[in-house]
Amino acid sequence: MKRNNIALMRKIAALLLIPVLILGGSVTAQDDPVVIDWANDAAWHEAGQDALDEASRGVIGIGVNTVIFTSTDSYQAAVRGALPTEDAFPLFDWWFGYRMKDLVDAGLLADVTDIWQTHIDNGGYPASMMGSFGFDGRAYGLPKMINYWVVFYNKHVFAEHGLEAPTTWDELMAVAEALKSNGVTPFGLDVVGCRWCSFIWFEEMMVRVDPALYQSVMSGETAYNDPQVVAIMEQWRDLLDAGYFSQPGDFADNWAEPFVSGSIGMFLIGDWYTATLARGGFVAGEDYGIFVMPGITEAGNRSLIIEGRPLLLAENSPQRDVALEFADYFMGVEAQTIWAETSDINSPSLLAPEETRPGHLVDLANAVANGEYELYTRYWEATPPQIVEQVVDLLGQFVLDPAALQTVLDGAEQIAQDYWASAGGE
Amino acid sequence: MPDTKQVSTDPLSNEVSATALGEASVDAPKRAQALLRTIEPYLYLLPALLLVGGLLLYSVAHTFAISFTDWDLITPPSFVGLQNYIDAIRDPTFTRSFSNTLIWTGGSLLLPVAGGLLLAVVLERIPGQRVLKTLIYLPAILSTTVVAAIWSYVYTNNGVLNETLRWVGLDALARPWLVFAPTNTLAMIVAASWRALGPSMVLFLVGLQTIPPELIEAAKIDGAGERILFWRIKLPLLRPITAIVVIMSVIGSFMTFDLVWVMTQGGPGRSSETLAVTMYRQAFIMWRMGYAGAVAVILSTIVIAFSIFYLRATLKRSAL
Repeated sequence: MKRNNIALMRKIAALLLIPVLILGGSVTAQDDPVVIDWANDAAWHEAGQDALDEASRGVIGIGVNTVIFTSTDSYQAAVRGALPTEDAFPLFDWWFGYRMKDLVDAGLLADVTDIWQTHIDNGGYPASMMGSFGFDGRAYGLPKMINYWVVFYNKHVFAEHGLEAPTTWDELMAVAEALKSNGVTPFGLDVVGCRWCSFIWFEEMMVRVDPALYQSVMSGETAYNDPQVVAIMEQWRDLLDAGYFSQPGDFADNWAEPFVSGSIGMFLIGDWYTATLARGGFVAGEDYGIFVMPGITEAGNRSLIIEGRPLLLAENSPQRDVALEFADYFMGVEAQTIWAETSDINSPSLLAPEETRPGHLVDLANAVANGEYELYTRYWEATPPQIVEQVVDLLGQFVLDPAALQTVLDGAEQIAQDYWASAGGE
Repeated sequence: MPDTKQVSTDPLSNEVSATALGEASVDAPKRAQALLRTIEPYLYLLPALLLVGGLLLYSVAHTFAISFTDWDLITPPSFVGLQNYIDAIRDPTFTRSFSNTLIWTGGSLLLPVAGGLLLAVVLERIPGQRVLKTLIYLPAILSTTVVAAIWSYVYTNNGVLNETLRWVGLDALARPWLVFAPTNTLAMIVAASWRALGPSMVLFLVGLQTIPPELIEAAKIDGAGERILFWRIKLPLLRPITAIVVIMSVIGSFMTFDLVWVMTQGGPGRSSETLAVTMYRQAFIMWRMGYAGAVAVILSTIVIAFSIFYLRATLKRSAL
């Protein structure tokens, strides 16, 4: 009897629920925005993306669901594996330049040239920036982050030895010599704990002497062992021989510690290193400053290495058109302001309010906006990864044994030739 | 009818006897029950079989298949025959990875296996062994990443090791430990052994406890000293445990990846790469899945061949 009652009550409850579910379903369809996935491997972007999600739901009726991968390698494998299929993430972060070229060549990315053009015309972005996010005049990625590669210097150490941020190459050398003679390592560089770090000074020396030559080597037109390249590398070798760099094995992939403690005076890295130093309580402007490395030649004075983190859209995703609509919103001032404020980053948009820019980057951002610098893509993305991944190991060997310069450059040229001669090097 | 006849001949089955008496209506359910009883154990095994079959066997077959292709995950794989194997064997980095892996194998046999055995034999006889055993075992509870991070600091130019060497006047021995080959590989083997020593010591201690005390007593009465006891009694009787520790160490050394990846990423200049690091690098950095598959097949073949050869030889001797 009791069991029959329970069964009856269940049936009544189910009947009552049907209209509720139908009504609820229709309300949901009307009110809820379309939500698309946005994948990345940077957990610290989550708060910013959530803020964008909330804002874009209200403005364009599109929400974004952030999918974070904790490992970069597994993230890349998951994204690449899904891209040829309809399961591709409609929005995902990637690496710019040649790191996205194979995806472009395979037709897996949505063309976003029109979105770029609209926002360039609005004065939101410098036209030169689009080139780093595409090939042959077409753009396939949007700038989620832009970082510039600058020299960080310890203000306390500089003050202690009566030094100031240099504005010419000669001044930089004088600073290095003064630091060295006072027992401070002028430049920190680690190629043991940080395998890829070997390219930092290679690209910097190249663009400080001859940026056109740098681009020519990146595109395979000039050889790595070209006499001009050799001459530039010899200048770097002289600095290594002069004892201006930390010794291999000095620190275990932690540049912040010797920099904060003052045992190294300067190091060259992307401006994103600000966040790492901030975690260690080292304050920009007070404890350290930044400067763009002075040119060795006049042409080198206007160079600035740029690193971009692009937002890509999957061509095969059924939600591609929704993603394009969101991408257009993301490039606008409102979204950029929210993104910069919630993530404490320097927005790539020229229209982003100055108060959103981290204090020590305001001058640099303004200088870029005023066209004072020519932007050159970071080595990691400026040439095919099949070359980069092997050449960084050779450059690491050079740092360990500067006498091996010619062997290293000959080896690099062989790798480059093999790549450009192969089918992949069309 | 032939079915009924056939089944009815089974003298052990009461149900079948009933069928033979012509109770056709109960025949089918009874047979279904019998069938169910037969397959029931397999049903319990099914989830495990699916897991092993689906995850392991499929992965092995898939890896083997892609090792004959050129595949970058985004374009369809194309058949290239043995090209990946030829490329691997001709690649000087593969040769270096292979020799580094052999150094790892040698080092793993010397330090965790021989060291673990030595510690077990010594600790068995000294007072305060419980505390020492715990201390030696303690690093084993740390993850490899933590071990790698700790030793990365130990090995820096001004790290604990170099500072200690300078402090005791051995300045000449202080060096950048993770920079030049083969020192960097040897240094990482020491770091790995710090963690692996405890578990192998415990296994040998267990093995020592299984040796009948009367055997030791008898040998002692016959005048056997410690050295003879070890070489003639303990070591031969530890053979099954030794086989396990050796196999585990060798397989572990061939699979060495995480410690190297954290400490040097196989560098500088790929000088400390092992085969597992080469495989990972080709798969997830160079996106050459076929090449990585070929390295995986070569690696697995070596490990399986060694395991079969070693176990056969050891077990045969144990049986004798």
